[in-house]
Amino acid sequence: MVDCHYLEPTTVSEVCTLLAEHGDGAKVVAGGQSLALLLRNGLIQPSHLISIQHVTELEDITASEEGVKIGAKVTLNRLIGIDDAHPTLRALSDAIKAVADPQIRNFATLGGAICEAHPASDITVVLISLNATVKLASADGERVVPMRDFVTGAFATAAQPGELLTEVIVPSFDLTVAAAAHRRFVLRAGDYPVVGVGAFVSLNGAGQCQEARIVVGNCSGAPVHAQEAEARLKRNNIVGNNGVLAAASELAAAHVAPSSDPMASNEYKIDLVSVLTKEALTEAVALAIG
Amino acid sequence: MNVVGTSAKRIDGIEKVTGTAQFTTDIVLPRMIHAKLKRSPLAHAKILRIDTSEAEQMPGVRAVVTAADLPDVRLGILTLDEHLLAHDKTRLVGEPVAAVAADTPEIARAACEQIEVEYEELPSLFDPEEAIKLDPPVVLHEEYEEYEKLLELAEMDERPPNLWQAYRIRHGDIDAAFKKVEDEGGHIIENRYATGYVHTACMEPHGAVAQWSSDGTLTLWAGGQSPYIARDGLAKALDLSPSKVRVIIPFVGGAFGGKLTVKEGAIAASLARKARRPVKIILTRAEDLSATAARTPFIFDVKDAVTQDGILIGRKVTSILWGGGYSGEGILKPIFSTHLYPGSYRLAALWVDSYGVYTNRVSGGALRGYGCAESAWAVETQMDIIARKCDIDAVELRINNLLTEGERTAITMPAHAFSAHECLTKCADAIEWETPSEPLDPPWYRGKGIALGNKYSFAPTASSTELKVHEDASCELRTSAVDLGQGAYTILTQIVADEFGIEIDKVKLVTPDTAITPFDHVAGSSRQTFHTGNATRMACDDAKRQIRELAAPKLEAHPADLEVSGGHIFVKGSSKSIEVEDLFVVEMLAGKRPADVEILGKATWEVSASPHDPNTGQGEQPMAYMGHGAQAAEVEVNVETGQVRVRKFVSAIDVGKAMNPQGVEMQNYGGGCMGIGIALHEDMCFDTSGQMTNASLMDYKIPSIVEMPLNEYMESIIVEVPHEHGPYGAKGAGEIVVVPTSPAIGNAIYDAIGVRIWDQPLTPEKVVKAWKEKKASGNGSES
Ligand SMILES: Cc1cc2nc3c(=O)[nH]c(=O)nc-3n(C[C@H](O)[C@H](O)[C@H](O)COP(=O)(O)OP(=O)(O)OC[C@H]3O[C@@H](n4cnc5c(N)ncnc54)[C@H](O)[C@@H]3O)c2cc1C
Repeated sequence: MVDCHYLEPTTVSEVCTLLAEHGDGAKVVAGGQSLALLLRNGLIQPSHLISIQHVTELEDITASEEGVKIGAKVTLNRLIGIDDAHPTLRALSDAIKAVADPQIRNFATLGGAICEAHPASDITVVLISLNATVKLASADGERVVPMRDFVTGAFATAAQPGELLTEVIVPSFDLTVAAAAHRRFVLRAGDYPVVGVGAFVSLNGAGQCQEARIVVGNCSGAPVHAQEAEARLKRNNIVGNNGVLAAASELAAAHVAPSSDPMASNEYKIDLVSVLTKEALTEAVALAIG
Repeated sequence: MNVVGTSAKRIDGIEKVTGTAQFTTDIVLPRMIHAKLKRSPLAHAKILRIDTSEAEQMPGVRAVVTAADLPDVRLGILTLDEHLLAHDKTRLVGEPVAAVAADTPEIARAACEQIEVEYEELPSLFDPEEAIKLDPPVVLHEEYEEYEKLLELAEMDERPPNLWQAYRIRHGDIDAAFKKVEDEGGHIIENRYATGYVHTACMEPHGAVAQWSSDGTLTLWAGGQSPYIARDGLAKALDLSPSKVRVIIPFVGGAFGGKLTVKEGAIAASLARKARRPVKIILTRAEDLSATAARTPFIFDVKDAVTQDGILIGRKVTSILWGGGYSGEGILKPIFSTHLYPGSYRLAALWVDSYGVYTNRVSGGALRGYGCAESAWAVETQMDIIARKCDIDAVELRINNLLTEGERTAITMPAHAFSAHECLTKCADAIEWETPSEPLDPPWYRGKGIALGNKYSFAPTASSTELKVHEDASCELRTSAVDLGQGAYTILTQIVADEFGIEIDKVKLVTPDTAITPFDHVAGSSRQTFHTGNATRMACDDAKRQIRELAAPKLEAHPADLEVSGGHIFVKGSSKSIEVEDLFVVEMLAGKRPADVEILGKATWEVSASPHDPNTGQGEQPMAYMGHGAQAAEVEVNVETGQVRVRKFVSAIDVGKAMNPQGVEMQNYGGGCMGIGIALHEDMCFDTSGQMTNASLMDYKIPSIVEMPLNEYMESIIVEVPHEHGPYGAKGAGEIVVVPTSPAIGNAIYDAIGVRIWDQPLTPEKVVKAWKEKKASGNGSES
């Protein structure tokens, strides 16, 4: 049993006021799927739980030139199939299909998934590969932080005490020449992956790679950008070129330095990075050429 | 017969699906308080001092106990080596050293943290092969020789100081067998196999509620497998006469061998006595997984002598059970695991040396199959290797080596109701053994594997039941058999309904309560249908005899000429009959009044055993019966990620007579799922200090439904070869269903990608490693 105050504000500004008021002891609770575990294991001992359950302004999904904005409180289940309306979210929708189980996804929110900052999170991996940004609000105002800088380590983010994540912005890209894909390997359905890989590629008219992002999850505290692998792809012809995709995958595997855990040794994780990177790149290229 | 043999609906079904079934955790008594345990963080340490003063002072704390509050007795199944609370030493991480009862579980937990224990850490021993040495680096039980022991070990020149079990089978001339093969050009095939650390991980964790009455009687509610084993254990631990202990078993949320004893219950009882209040204890999932008995690993060295044409003429096995801090419920495993070897195949020579050793890990316990699921992993993989070596089909090779009905086995006892051949061939047909798997695109490969298994049910043993017939002709069966979810209550109900020719809803069960229900050994070793089933039939007969005697004067007939069915008593061959209710009234001048009648049938079914000689393993009847089964799997293996998917799974088991075919089917499916988990996924992991590192259901990988074959690819086959002593010919079904699973899957993996993984579980990581090694060595052939 947890002994603390439970508050239920209804607007973002109320949340920010409460967060400022209660300082370090305050914790936001969205779907509670990760928070409940942290509480049970005694890893956090908040004095105030600030529920955003009734903050309806965080539930919108809107599209503009800039990209798709997703409110922090949108549940994971709502994002499955979201690519019908917002095709750039295809990889995100794909990844979320495999997250946990339908009951958990019914409560779990996108904002919660990001703020949990689990080293194996599929969602952060995909969002970083999509070059997404997050908006943070506090009593002092708002700021926007790129996803790649937001997750700073295992269960650690750049959010300051008093800040609420309000939305995620996935920038637009040209679906006729670019695509993202995600691959993961789990020991059992519903688990966090042993390793996850998000890949994004865009092509120029000649089938050469213009942009590439390869993001690897669960090989370090925070998702890792496999920069050498990305460099290997750029300006190279990657359409129908298995060799270069394989080479990039090897580089991605060489780039990571995971640690062993009871479920998987570091060697095995490295093997998986290579396999999954290759698969993710292959799918992204296939999608990019349409 | 009209009810036995039908798939009658589970009698506990409605209660369970509507949530009204009462489990231990649902029991709430007035003034009840809650217990938590203080556990050792060290694998091996001397306890120098325990200071409970601070915990005792905390508001809401009602009692604190340590070993000093308990009788100084050691407990155990056959080797009494374990105190309820650590006495002067702790021998595994998680061993309870003290306990607190408080108004809430949270206070109790906080109070445990305030208990100060001063330890002197000792070097730990985790390696079973180090442990078995005559001169081991660490000795766990310095006073072993003084312990009370109820078993005899095989003779040895000198007992390794950490050894708690030694058993041998000596049949035939083993050296001659190997020599013959050497001389005449056969194969000697020698391999080492290991099983993993598996936990029962029942949906319901261990727990109990204890209450004392003013006359000094203890009542304990606990999800256990045997009210009488629990009663006797409590009496011993608390120095009470067994008559002063009453054990009630509510519904049990799974046991699988993990709930044979009720240690936590005994601790709760000692707290309840001190606090003078009822005490409830429910273990957390982490405690349940890390600190209650597990299926600890076995190491098997198997060496076979096989003729050129694939006849097994000699088998030599040396095995070590990797025990924990105490011998625990695993005490008989080194013996019973050997029952598998002579059970299926004709072996001119069989030599087995089987040991159990102490290490500073979790104690070994029972888990569905009690040693045979483990030994099957070794020898049924070995059979596949032999078949390939001899270039004989794996089914044919097995058939060529099978025993025949009535044949003397390598441990003397003759094979009876020997159905291995039928199980094997039906299983092979169902998986389309003759047709190779359709290939997939790399990196995926498909393959098929098959394995045979057998499972003894132990003896000596006994079951008693009582059957009361009521005025309305309904029947009440009083039994201490426990329904752990396997469906025992439904089957026993079916038997009574059948024997009395009444509807199932006219049968009521009085469930385990040692104050009311008579002795039954245990819900274990697949024994309840067989033994309690027999006792139930006999109690029905006894009650019917009483009915006939009561009815005889009324019907003016001889009791032997009467028949009882459907609430009526008939005179055979005539239309004369009365109702059962007529027996309960006497006609008076002014009408009817209740008669002084009690119809209570009683029976005890007993199976004795000839003691097996620990030096030779020979015995006319070392067990009650032996069941057989075969399983086959088709797997898909990804050589890049190592993922193994079981695409198809067939389980063909012999139950003698399917008392409830749907129940058997559920055993086939449920056992298959559990077996797949054990083969591929489940693995308790430990760090170098002996601490379990994956003690949560997130990290301990019990597979989900997604890892199972699709419904249409999961096949249950029921084989019925009646056993002469089984009720209606029946044998048990509960354990055989996990015995062949692992080797069937391992053999399928070999068929798919040509690699063997010798140690369970066969994880993706091991698959990748083995595949890479095969590629590096450039061949996949076996030695
Ligand atoms: C069994 C299980 C399996 C899982 N498997 C996967 C998986 O395979 N892949 C994967 O990617 N994820 C997985 N997850 C993680 C899942 O995505 C997250 O648990 C979920 O999305 C968290 O969302 P929530 O709304 O429940 O967050 P909560 O639990 O409410 O909060 C999580 C954390 O974020 C903070 N927080 C929440 N919202 C905000 C906000 N708007 N602003 C600031 N801080 C906030 C909270 O204070 C807390 O620290 C799994 C979770 C479970 C329980």
